Amino acid sequence: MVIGKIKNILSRSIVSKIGKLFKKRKIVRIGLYGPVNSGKTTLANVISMDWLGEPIGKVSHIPHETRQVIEKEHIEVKHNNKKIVFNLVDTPGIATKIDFEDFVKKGLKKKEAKQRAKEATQGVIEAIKWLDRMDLVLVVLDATRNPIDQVNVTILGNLEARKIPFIVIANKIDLKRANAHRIRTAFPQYDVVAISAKNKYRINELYSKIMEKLGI
Amino acid sequence: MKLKIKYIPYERFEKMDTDKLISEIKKKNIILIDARIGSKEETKLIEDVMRKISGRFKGIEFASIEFEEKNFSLLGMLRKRLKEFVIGYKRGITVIGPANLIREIKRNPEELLLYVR
Repeated sequence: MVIGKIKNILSRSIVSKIGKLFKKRKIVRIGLYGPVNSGKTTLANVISMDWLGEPIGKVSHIPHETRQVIEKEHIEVKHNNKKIVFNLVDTPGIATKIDFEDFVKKGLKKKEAKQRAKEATQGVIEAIKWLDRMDLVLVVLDATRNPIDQVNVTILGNLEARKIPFIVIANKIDLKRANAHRIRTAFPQYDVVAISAKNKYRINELYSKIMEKLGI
Repeated sequence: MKLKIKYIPYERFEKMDTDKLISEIKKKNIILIDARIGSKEETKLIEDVMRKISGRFKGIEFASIEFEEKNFSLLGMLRKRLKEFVIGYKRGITVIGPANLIREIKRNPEELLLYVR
């Protein structure tokens, strides 16, 4: 009986140590979410190029360029004498409607446009399914557009409901009609970082905020 | 131009098969639900709509607003939470319509503006 109890304590202790080992090794997963064409892939490319020397995905003026979830592993960011290692996940833009004719207007042939629309719908579904795997989400919003949009509200509401920490990013502040203040006013309860991913403006501030959010 | 608004009480929406809801929307009905639907219900709706998108059905426009209680006292907040707990949903409205009929829905704190094509 005594030997049984000792075996129990030892096995619990070993299990706990193994658990802590895996806990230490857990890679943080940071996802980029947001509406279509808000600059998620542009930002993902900036981060990936900065620290891995290679981009994560293709960027274009045609909506739904990113139609699959793409994960870039083991990105090591060093900033202000701190270090963080994470997997970066770029996701397709969330949308409630997809019309292949929009792609035809942008120059695609009808067959290609229909295929793109089909892939885009699957991409949205995949992006939603990946949400629960995130440790931190960067919600990328286009600062030239009205932030009180149902898609934005849905994304933020889901992150809150699932208790996933997030940072709201007001992107495209290089553009004349950008208004980051409008985003801060719309969501005063959230951390908002204003950047230009295209011009790599204030990216260091974003790294600081990421580290702060992850308690590093 | 005639617009058909179909009222669905939240209790029915909760138990409703999304396929049935989407077929109502495909018939060019604008659905009005007497509650602010939850975030997870919103993403489920988006996922299901994405699966149904085809040449004719382009998707939806939707918006939800919550009726905010003006009473910010502790008792007021507790009363609000209790109501939500008892009835199981947040007071408000949700409007869902086909994207080929509704161009845009603008949200203000206490109103929704529908712009039709």
